[in-house]
Amino acid sequence: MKCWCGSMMNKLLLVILICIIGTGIVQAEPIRLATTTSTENSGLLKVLIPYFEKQTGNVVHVLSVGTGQALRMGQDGNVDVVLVHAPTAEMRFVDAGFGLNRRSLMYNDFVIVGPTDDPANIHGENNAVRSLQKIARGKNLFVSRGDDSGTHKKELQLWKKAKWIPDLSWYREVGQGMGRALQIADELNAYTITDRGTWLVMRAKLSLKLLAEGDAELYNPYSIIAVNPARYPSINYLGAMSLIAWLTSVEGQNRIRNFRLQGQPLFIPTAIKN
Amino acid sequence: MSEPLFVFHGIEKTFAEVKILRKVDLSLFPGKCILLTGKNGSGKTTLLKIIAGLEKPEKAEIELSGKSRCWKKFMPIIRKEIIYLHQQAFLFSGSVESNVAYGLRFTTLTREQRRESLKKALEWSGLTELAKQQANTLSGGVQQRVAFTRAWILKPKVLLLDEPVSNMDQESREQACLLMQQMKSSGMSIVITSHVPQYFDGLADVQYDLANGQLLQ
Amino acid sequence: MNGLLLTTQQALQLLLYGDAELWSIVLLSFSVSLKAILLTTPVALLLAFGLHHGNFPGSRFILAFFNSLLSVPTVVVGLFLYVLLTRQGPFGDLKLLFTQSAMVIGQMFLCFPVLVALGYAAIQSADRRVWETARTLGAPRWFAILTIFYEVRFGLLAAVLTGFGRVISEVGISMMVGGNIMGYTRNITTAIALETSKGEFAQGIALGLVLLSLAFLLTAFLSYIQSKKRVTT
Repeated sequence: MKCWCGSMMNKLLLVILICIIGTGIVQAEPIRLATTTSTENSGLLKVLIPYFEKQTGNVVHVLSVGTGQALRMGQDGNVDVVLVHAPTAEMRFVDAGFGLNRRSLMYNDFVIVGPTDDPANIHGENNAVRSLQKIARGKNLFVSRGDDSGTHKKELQLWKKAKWIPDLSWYREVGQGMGRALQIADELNAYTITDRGTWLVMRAKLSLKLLAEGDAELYNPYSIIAVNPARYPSINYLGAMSLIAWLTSVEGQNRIRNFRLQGQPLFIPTAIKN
Repeated sequence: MSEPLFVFHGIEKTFAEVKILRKVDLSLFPGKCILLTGKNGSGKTTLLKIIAGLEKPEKAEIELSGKSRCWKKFMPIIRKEIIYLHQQAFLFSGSVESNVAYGLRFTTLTREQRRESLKKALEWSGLTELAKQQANTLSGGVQQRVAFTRAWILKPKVLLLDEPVSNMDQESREQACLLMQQMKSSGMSIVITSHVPQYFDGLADVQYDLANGQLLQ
Repeated sequence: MNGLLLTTQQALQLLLYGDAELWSIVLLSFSVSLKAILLTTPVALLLAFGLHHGNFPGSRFILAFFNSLLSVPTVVVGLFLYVLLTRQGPFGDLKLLFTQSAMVIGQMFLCFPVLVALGYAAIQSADRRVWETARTLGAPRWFAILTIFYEVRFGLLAAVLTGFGRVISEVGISMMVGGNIMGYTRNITTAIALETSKGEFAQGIALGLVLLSLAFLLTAFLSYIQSKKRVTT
């Protein structure tokens, strides 16, 4: 009665064993990097990190979440280093003692995209604040990240400069990553602000058009900050610093400069002043 | 009159505020068959289950080789030496063989000995041809035979058979009674409950009636 | 429609030509969920047995509690676990956050009520005489329990398969406490979430197909078991 150990069972057990062992391999202490969805979307890290890992023998675990969440993870000691693009929030992070060794890494820019027919008529204007004012005045649909990300923070700054409080009748806070936000804007035929990297990756699948760019206000600087080990002794501080060192080294900065997305350069390195 | 195997004193059991068993005494002798009659619900099954150690009485004393103890103390011995068979023969899912051999794994027999034992037991009840058959495909009479064999193979001192031949045709009944006679001859003490005592005329040595929680001859 | 067909075609190509990244994601899903189920099943089934045979006063309340957890949203479990595992949390020192172990633990919480509730139902359907027969034939308690489990094995298997279905398809826990780290904690569901957010529908559909086929297989197997159950009882 108890002998149900036929070959069927044995094969099943073998499959199960392979699955379990297959992914249980022990690794050296990883470096945990929290970064933003825009960095992930651009594909930059996918190219850079393997070089770093190969040269230094480290393993990097990349968690891509919004800037706000990334900084929070640093504050809570759940990651070793953060790479974000929200200067005010970053400075507050360092001032509060959560992070150390903030280094400027690179920059690119934001752009404003919207429906092909451009009802608010912002095309060619290339002034971010005035564009937003036009959108608001015309009550044109606008999609906001609404997730405390670097992009969201920049957007809120711009509204403040435009001296306009968005109205819920045309303002849609989606609370999601840049890719999703663009897709939603596409569906709703709405305007939105996006980083150039995500835009380049996604534009082929969208019916939206790039309508405003080049304004100094749309400057998008990225920094990398190590989490303060004084607060959490078990943080991989050495790993974090070695990653920062590599990314801000001549080689790292060159690789950032040479990164191409659809044949276009995307990031401009800022760590080493000429 | 030989020595009794087990003597039960003062068995008491209450169920749903009703005193089912009031100070019941029962002695079990080797090679003897007791027939227990009584109305449905009179407590026959409960009594048997208590004796087998499957249910707890409120109070009971057991006498074993002259020593009288509270029921709890002799539980392991009771469970080993007394086997209870349900009314409708209950078999595990599996073959006749696996059913009959079920209890063998708890004995100290070697693998060879177990195989021998199984072979002999199947021959004893004429089940050798049906050894690999699935239990749930058998007729009621054959299932009862399997249940008997499954108990017999463990050589218990006492066998408690609850309504062993109800719902059986005459042929099956006679076969069953033959096996019971053989069990009796091999020295086992047997207790049978039935509401048709005539079936066991040649088999039973003494008959008790359970009424109002008490045993009467 | 054309775009959808094209994407599906790309998806099938990814699957069939053994895209390494894709299959590593699938392997991870199975590894985590299998571990969760294997670790939970013995304890849950024993608990289910205890609840059935124990006859102690709280048992019905405990059972109702597990039944209520059957459809708890996975994000809630994920959030709860995150708070426990974060560095500042009570179990922060274990450094479990953003590891596969955290995902396994979370999924264990998820499938435990399923196994207890459905295991209980299966055990309850067992004939009362199984226990008595096993015991009277000399079985020690633990073997009598195994005998009962064997008698209701199809019901138990259905419970395990249902539990597995629940954890292999959850995303709330994996996302929150796993972190969706490539090659380390990215499983089928979190990968789908990520790929679709990037507009990479081909990858998303490929993974979705894997998951759907698995769900289909599980359901088919489950109904096969049900039919076997009807034959033997």
